[in-house]
Amino acid sequence: MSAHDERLAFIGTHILPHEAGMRQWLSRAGLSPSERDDLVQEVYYRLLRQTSYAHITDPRAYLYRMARNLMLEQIRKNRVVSITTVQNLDELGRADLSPTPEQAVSARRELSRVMAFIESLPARCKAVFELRKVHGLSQAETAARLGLSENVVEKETARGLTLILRQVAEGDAPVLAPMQPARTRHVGH
Amino acid sequence: MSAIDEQAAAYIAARAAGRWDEADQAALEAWLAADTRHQGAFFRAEAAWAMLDRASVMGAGVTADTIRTSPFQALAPRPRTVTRRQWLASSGLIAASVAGAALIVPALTHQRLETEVGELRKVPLKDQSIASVNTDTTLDVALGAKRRDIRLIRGEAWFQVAKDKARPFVVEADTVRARAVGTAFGVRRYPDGAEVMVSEGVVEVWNTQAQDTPVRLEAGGRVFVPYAPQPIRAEYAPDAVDRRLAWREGQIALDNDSLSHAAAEFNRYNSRKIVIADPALGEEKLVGWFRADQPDTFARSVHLALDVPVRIDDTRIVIGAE
Repeated sequence: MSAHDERLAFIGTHILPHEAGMRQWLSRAGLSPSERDDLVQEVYYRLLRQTSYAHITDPRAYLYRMARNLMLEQIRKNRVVSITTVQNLDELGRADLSPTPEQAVSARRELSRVMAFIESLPARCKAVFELRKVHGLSQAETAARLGLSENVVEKETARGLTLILRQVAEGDAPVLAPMQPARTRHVGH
Repeated sequence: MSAIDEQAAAYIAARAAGRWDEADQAALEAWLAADTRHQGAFFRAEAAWAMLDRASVMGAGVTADTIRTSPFQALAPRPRTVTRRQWLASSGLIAASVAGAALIVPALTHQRLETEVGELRKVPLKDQSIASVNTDTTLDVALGAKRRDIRLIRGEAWFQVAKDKARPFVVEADTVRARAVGTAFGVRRYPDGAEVMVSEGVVEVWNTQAQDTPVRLEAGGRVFVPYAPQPIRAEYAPDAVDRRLAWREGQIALDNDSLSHAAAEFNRYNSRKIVIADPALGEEKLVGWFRADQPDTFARSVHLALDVPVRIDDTRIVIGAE
């Protein structure tokens, strides 16, 4: 694995799963959808610029803190503040950064998350992603298997990735049936 | 998600297509160099693309031949959605109950309306007009058979005027008059003149001391009329009119307004006054919507936006180092 691949793997495992939560947090803080998009892209840009992620011990808290600091930077630069921004900046900063119980990342959970993303795609898109990502075929091989032109496969690839990125943003990945019997958990009093 | 994200996905797909050449690489690099947001979006899409490779363990031991029959022809059943008609039916129900609630508000006849500092009242008048009365305001309402007369003694009010051609609706502020038939407009008194802002319809504005013909103001129009007769000039500024009438929702809207203007606005509504300790700060420009009754929140915003010290105690709010 190259250093860049390792960084991508870190983002995929530790950052992307928290993106939807961060986006919700930002809209509660009063950001409009386009301001939120800009800020999220800026967050990834800052991550891209870092040479190592070794110092990140709690990725979720780190991500939120970074978003908060960027928001403050924006406020200072543009001098645009809304009442909700100010009220929520502090409160959200505290409330949302407590560690959540299910933060442990397991390979199994990640796999089921990835499979759920692929599973949720429209039929043709899904077929392309299954051949490419599950079976590891190239675009040309995928096109031949499905009887489609390479251009169509490329288009479906871009479309599928966009749909998956949207799920990453919105956090509504459909949950696949558990890959082993789930242990019953008792919740309540 | 934005158009940038979609473009990033398209670049990833193109690069993974196996037909990537130097020209493509140059185009990608130019796109990335154009904007740090592009770089962020591309890095994110790249990470998601790489993440999907984890699915390859599911393919271990299974040859791709087993899914050779085009699986994409099987279409998923459409999810059941609420029809437009069902939706309309339920929203009609809500509208009906809201209208029902509005009927119990008592109307008032002929009287004086007063508000304290920070108070905001919305008062239905007997002729079906509505008066929204801003902070620290006094006005007299006289609804006669031939005229509807409102005397603004101090402060500011906004009127949603019920149509009645036979009875013009006239607001008086010292020597300034504003007349409407069926329309919505606001009038604010200042020490040296009155400001009229129109949100709907047409209003005629004049000064009783001047010989000029009335100025016609349409929706979005605004004019300041001095009590001493002087030429007046109306302007068309719908956004400014909206912002200046934000008080009807208990808000103060700032659009590149100076800190000293903002402080003066907040001080109209609150007994705990904002003091700008450092005069150099007074000209700093700010943008934002705030609750008029929360000067402390505003002060905290200023602290964040301008990075200046702010001290808040029970009697006053001091912005800037003393």
